[in-house]
Amino acid sequence: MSPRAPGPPVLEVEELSLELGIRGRWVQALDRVNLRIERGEALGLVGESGSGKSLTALSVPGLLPANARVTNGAIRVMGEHVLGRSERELASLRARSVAFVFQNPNTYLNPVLTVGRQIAEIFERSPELLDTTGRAAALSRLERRRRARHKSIEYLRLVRIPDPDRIVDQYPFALSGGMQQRVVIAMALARRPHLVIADEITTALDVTVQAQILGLLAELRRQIDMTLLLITHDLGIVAQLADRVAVMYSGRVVESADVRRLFRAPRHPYSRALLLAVPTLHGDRTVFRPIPGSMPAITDPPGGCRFHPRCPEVFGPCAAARPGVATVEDGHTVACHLYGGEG
Amino acid sequence: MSGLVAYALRRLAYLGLVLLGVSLIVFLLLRGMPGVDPLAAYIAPGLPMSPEALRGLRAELHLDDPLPVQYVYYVRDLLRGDWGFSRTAAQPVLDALLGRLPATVELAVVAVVLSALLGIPAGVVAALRKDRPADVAVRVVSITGISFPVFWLGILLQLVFFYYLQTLGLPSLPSRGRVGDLVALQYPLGPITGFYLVDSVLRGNAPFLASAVSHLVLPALTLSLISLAAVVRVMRASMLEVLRQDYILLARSKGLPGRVVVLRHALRNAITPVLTTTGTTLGILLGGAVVVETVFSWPGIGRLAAQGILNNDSVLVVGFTLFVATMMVFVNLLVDVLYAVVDPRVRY
Amino acid sequence: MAALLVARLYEVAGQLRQAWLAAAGGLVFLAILATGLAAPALIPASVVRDVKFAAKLAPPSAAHWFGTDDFGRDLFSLVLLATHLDLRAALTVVSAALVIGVGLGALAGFVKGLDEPLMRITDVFLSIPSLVLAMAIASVLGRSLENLSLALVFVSWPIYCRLMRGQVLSEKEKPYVRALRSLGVGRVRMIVRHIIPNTVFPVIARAPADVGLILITLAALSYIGFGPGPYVPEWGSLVAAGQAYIFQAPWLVLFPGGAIFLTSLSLNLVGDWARDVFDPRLRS
Repeated sequence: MSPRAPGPPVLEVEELSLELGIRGRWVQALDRVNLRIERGEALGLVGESGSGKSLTALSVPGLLPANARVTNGAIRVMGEHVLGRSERELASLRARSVAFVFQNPNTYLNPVLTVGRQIAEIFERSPELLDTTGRAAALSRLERRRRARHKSIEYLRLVRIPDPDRIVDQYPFALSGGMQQRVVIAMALARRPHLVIADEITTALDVTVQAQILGLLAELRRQIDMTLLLITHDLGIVAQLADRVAVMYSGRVVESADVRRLFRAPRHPYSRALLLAVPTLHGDRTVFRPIPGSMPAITDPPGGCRFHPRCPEVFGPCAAARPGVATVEDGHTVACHLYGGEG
Repeated sequence: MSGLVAYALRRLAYLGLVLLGVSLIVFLLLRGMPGVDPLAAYIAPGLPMSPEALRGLRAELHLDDPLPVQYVYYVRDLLRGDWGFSRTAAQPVLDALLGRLPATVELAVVAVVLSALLGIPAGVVAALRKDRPADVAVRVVSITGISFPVFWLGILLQLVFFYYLQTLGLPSLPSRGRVGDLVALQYPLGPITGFYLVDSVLRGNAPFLASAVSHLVLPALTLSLISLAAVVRVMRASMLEVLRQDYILLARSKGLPGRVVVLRHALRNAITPVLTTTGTTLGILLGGAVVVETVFSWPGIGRLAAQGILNNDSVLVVGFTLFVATMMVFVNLLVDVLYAVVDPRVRY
Repeated sequence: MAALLVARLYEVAGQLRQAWLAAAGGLVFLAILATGLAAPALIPASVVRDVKFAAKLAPPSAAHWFGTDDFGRDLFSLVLLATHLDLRAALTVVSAALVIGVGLGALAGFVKGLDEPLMRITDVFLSIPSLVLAMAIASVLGRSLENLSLALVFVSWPIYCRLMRGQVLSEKEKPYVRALRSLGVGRVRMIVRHIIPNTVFPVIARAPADVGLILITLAALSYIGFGPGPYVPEWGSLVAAGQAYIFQAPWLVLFPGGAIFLTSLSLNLVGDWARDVFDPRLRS
């Protein structure tokens, strides 16, 4: 964990509520989500599919789908408000401040443009990235192209792609899944963003490649002091990479803590069940302890605490009232009636 | 690049086979139709021939040999450039077609360019403004375009821009021929390529150029209507499909301005179906050229074929069919190669 | 199979509100169709020989709604009779081409050995523009409406064949087919009860638009001169005949041409909607 650098938090999500338009109705998809990432920190956002973690992530650079609308809350990147900005301003934000790395690199890379081209266009858009002496505008077009290509190769090397001089002219379909993902990461880093958001970036890869990519990310964090929002459903990845963890369930953040504290002493019944659910070896048997039931559909949520139908510790107020957020320790919050707290 | 060459060669070999198949159909039409005397196509009605002459003709055409043998002779003749003699043109068929080809090609090329220039932007705009007024307008115009009988459009355009403008005393657009008769006499053009637009520029013959252009307007516009509607629809559908793709989201997430995303990322992917459509619409265009050339008395291969039909000149009509098929085949080859240039995945 | 169709139509009826254009087109076409069907009953065939030079080239009036042609015949009656002839020809052509094309296409899809040769044959046919091929065939057979129709059938079947074959091939690969086979469902039963219904509809959905296309092609061919002659009314040849008098009597060209346009437009509106509805990619 790198020492905290002074300055505003890189990301602040405050009471974010969001609705999705599904089949003519508006349903609540995010319910007063709160997140905070300091500089140099890596926050793991954990949850099952449908918990709202991707939506939360997409709202930061303003890439929500057309049927989503924010009903409440604020998002600040480096102290600047994001919500309500024009597309032009958001484009600026995406170009320099927030870089998104998507899940399936195969479909996220343009098949008819070379890898190099797709990285170089970042420098075309922001030529100041090319030049450290501040005279970027004075460069000729040709010179800019040359430098952009050079820089692209540099970034390919940074993400440990072998033989980057050759790869830079290849088309995406010629690369393996792992290499493609590295290219997308390179594209994110090339922008020298304040925040990198990685949304399930290893889910589409097989296990060995996954390990390589995670190793790369760990190394990069050490090397260039990256601030990372890591979205995943895999607790193992969280354990490996994250400093802090936020657990989401059905549109709410149910627990948020330092990663070691969460793994050692999870408070929320859902977090506990998640950790228990990771298969362990007992003797020579694999023990499975799944959580009974499934996450409610957002079109038909249960009343009160959304987890209560599946909660092993459900009691009185759970079905009736929405639990408030309680601070159990420094930096450790839980949203559960067991711990009190104000809504 | 060698991947590209190998690909082109493979396509060429395949298309050669297709042409062989076309020659077979054409041959069967000429010689193998039950109930039709193959000799009839070669004899001018009303011009009786002596029995010896008839026998000589039969021998020359190998009509007494079994069909497969006849076919071999036929293909041999085709490859040697002997496509028969056309009564209508009073020339060998191949010469007659080649001589009038530049007129048709000029017309077709201008029509295709027009439909691309108008159609591609219209399709892109319609996709970007889906379901809004601009989109609806484009779609309405496009459906109207497909439903419009081409020959009727040509006649209506003549009516408005030639007849009515003339009665109103306004300058009008010509409705017949490739160039004004007077202009051709006063400012004769020595042909180089046979394309009036090209030649008149090369020779610096301004009046000829002006006349040629004004004669092109109405027929090219009429012909372009056919492919315009198709181009717009395909462009719109393809663009919509591409805009939904993940890599467009990534491009946006890089902070690229909208214009760049559309032009560089989306269009390049979306344009490939339009290319293939151009290949298929060329066929329809060539068919349409027959009609348009008849309406505007344009001296191209289409009008020649139409005249051949009225004259019962089957040799000409059949030769025209083979000729057009050959042209189509080569254009499709070109389109395939272009496709491979634009979309690198195809080469492997 | 009927249940499938009904279920689909039901689902689609919900979207009908948005498809008002197609509905309008459908109504217009039905009106035209009804007119065409009724024409021989309403109008005596002798109209074509009703030459009255005194009344020639008269503009539209109460007596002659569409005016008269250069033979003095009532244009309205001629156009109506032509409606009957043209519609009948176009519908026959498309039906025949559908039956042949779908049949052969299904065969190509199911019988491994037939696929290659059939595809080569369709390739050859499709490499010749339809109008040109129709011209060639008709010129050899002789000039008449029947021969034109026959030629157009030859020209149209390859597309349906290819479409059907493509549909069959992709349907065969679907998991449910394998599932049914493993349950022991017989091959013939599978084809008839499952595969054919799921594949035929998208192909048939093209029919309305194609009828419009065939109509225009038919008219174009008879305009050029393939037409059946001045005593058989046909839209295209009516336009051709009228072109000589275009300036003095534009109605001769406007009404028959307008009839073609209106019919084709209404068919295309319906056809567009039909294609969207039955597009296999949009169903899931």
